[in-house]
Amino acid sequence: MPGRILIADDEPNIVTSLEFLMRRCDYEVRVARDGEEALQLVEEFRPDLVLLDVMMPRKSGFEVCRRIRETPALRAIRIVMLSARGRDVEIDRGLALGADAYVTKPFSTKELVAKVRELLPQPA
Amino acid sequence: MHYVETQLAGAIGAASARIMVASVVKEEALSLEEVRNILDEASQVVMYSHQLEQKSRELEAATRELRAANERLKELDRLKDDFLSTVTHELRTPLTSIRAFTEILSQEPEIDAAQRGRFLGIVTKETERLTRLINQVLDLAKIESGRAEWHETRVDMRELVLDAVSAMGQVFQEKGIRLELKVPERVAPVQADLDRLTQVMLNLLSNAVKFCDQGAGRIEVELSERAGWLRVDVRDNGAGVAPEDREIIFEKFRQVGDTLTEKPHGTGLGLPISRHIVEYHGGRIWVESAASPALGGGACFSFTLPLLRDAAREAA
Repeated sequence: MPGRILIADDEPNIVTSLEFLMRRCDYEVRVARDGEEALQLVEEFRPDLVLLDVMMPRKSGFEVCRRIRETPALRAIRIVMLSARGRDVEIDRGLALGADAYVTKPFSTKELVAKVRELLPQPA
Repeated sequence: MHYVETQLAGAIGAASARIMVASVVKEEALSLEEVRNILDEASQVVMYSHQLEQKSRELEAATRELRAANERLKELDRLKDDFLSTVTHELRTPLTSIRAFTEILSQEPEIDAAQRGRFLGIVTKETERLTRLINQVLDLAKIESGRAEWHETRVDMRELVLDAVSAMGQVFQEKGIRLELKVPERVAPVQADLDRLTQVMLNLLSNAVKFCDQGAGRIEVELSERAGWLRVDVRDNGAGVAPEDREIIFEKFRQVGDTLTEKPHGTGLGLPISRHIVEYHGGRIWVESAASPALGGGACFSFTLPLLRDAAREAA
């Protein structure tokens, strides 16, 4: 297995596309539908990378990102924020909170996959 | 302003100079003429000073007004920003799915027929969602700028309500909603745009459905006639509307709840559009909601329409 990926987004169709893209690259995938579930799965599933939507029910992606970065045991997790709100101030906020990348929706599937591969180096 | 100041400075200078001269040369008595001049100049100083105070008060008032206007502009700007941010998010979300599945379908020749069909179905659905949003934004812009065309005819609200309810039949069924209809055998006609009022009715019904729990929803639609007015009530047993939100939900640019964790339900434009339509017809639209969920919760959206004059007389 090249790695474990948690998809946290509440738009079912976007989740379906992300699941397909990540599974096709042989990643092991789990899905969270809101911020609370995302935090819970981060603990249980211990993903290598989280595809994290910003606007989610119960807890925003920013909040989830902050919590992950505050927890020493989770610090190695790579975070790619996904957002349909692409204003510079939000991109800056996401990166300031410790996200490794901020991808604006709609995204190029090729570029997203490339970004994920770049952040998850394949074991030699 | 500058002129008054210059005048005042000049007057004070001249008057005090005279007084100084008079006090230094104490032995010499001042002539009556000189005293009069000093008094004249002094009274001029008082007058200028009054003028200055007046100007200063006017300026303060103008500053206050400007400050308030500036606050209003800032608030409007913020609301416009919120609206743009919401609309942008709502436009980008379906576009994200459309782009992702289009790319997947074009790059993956080995996808099986069933999955291909499912993905194409999503693209179609998201395209429809995008179209709906664009139509609503344009619709609202048209109504607000007064460029909307209205086609008024004699409308039988009984028929309109029943047609709207039956158009929603499948949605009610899918969500397991129990529907109660309280519609009289006959109501007097109204002069109205049939399509626009149908739009209002469908909007209220789909809102009610949205806030009902799966399998436990109850929606009551009531049509009544009183004192020259028709009234439509759409009652649901959903979450209800908090008192502080009851006006806000009819305003465009406004969303209820935390914008980061709660997505707007739909475009958030349905109710503002409905309000414009009802008010165009001379009616009123509002929401009432139980104060506490213990009382049954739920919300009741109502609107009124004035009956045609002759119809009202016939009924009387």
